Amino acid sequence: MCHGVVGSTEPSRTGTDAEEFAFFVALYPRLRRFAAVVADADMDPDDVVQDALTSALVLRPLSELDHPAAYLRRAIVRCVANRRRRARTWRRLLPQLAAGHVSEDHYPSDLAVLDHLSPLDRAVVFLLDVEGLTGPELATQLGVSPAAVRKRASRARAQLRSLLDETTSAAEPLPEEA
Amino acid sequence: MNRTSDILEERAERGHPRGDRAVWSAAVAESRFADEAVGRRPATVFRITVAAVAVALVAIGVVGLGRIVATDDDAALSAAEPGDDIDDGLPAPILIDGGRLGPRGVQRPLGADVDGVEMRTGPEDTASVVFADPADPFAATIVGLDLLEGGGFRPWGANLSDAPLEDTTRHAALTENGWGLSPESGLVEVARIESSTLDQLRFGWQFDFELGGGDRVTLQAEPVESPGVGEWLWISRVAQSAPSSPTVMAVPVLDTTGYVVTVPGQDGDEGVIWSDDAFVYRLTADRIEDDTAVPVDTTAHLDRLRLVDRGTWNEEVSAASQRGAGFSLSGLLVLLAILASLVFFVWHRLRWPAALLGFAIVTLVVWGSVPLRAGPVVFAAVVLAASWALHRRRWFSPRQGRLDPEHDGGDDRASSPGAAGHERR
Repeated sequence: MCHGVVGSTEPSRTGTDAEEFAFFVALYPRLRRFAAVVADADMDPDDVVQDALTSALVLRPLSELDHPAAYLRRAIVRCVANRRRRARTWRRLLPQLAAGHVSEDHYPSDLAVLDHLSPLDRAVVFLLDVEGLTGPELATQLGVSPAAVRKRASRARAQLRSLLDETTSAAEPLPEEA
Repeated sequence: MNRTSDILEERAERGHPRGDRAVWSAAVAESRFADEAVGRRPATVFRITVAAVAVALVAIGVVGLGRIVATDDDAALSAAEPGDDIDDGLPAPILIDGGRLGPRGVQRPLGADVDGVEMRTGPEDTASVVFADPADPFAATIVGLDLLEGGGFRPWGANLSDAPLEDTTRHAALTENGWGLSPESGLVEVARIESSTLDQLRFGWQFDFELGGGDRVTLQAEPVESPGVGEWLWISRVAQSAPSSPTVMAVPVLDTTGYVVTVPGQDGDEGVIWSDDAFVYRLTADRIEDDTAVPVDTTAHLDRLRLVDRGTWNEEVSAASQRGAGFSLSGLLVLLAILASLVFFVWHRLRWPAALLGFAIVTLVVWGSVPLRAGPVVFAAVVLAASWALHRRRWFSPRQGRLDPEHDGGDDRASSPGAAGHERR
């Protein structure tokens, strides 16, 4: 699970487990899609969702969170970032051991280019372009300023376009010599 | 942009969803376990509290270690190594049958100039003169006159059942040697201690023997500069400090004659006193009842005294000192275990350190002879419990932290979306 979320107390479960579960069921499909985008290709989206949910439940019941969906999305982003950081640390400390875990994509695809973006960049682009959130809404969801959202979105989109163009040009067959 | 959306949409649908119920069940189970298994970074106040407790325990440990080193380095012990045949400055090699010198059961004179504290106010006494029956000095009335600076005297007495001290001191008269008793008293001078009471209070050797069942005997040995006055030194001390005049009775001790001193109305006795050419000895006995030493009849243990050879005595003394050092080290290890338990318990919320902590505290409580008292540890445990309760309630944490994963105070550097977004590409 994700470490570092505040609140060591055991959840004070005011609602019943059934109510809490129903609360989560309503959130799960969107969270799972979000996690699938934000997480790296070698991470299981459900694992990330579970980590984020665990960190929330350790804190308190979902029904008592001010903005549970926003909380869980931000927790997902943070979990993914932490996992990436830990993976980097292991690769640095034990390069030989970690070498076996570095997945080389032998079949590059458009999906793979997303892994070149940071988790937060992927989250921003996904929520804006797919989920249809507005800039201010996204800023609230992710806890950053609207200006930061605009700047990050613009930069991420440009990077994504560039990466897709590189992928396309690399995939096109060489022109036949006359 | 459509292509980007398509990619993102395809990415969002990747994999095979485990299902909301499976994810929920696993998260709920993990959340209920996480508090113990993983733990959280404590609040700052909590960390400070734990650090203070840790520093206190370490300080106690360092002080204890210092005491061990100081004790072991004492030069006097080196004179008691097995095989040595050094009698100078050592009391007679006396051991107790069925008894063992306890840890730290040997205390040595710290130095020839270490004297007792002044026992009373008023004029200093310059000498003590003891008067008794010349036929059997210890069997009948004993009267002592402490001669004071500037004239005058302070009387004390023993075996006064037949004659109150006031009656006897009516025979006091000033002579050319100072105050004395006239012949009408029927007493003659039997000893003259040419020094003040303060000078007489010179610490000597002490040996604490454990007999089991809470019974202990203590043997004290003080060097005597003036042969023949050793017993009178102890009798005068007891007489001067006791609420009523003591009685003195002869008893056989180690092929010589000793004297048991008893204060009427008090439990047990004040010990048995005897002397040789160099030392005056005092044997006392008591029993530990509810952490209180209750004096008992010392004469019941006299037949257990054994005069052994010097080598055997040296071995026993050295072994006692090593046991004392071992006990100290054990106490230090227990404290270190407690310290480790505190750290692991509060930091990682693991159960086994908590169990270790409990074991260590129980050890301290049960093992009462650990030199470092359980008080600091109990105090540390109380502080720990209080800080633990505070930490559980997060009283010192910002409320926002409850609702916002950014305010986690944790060690994850990428604990905020901003930080997460600044990963290197």
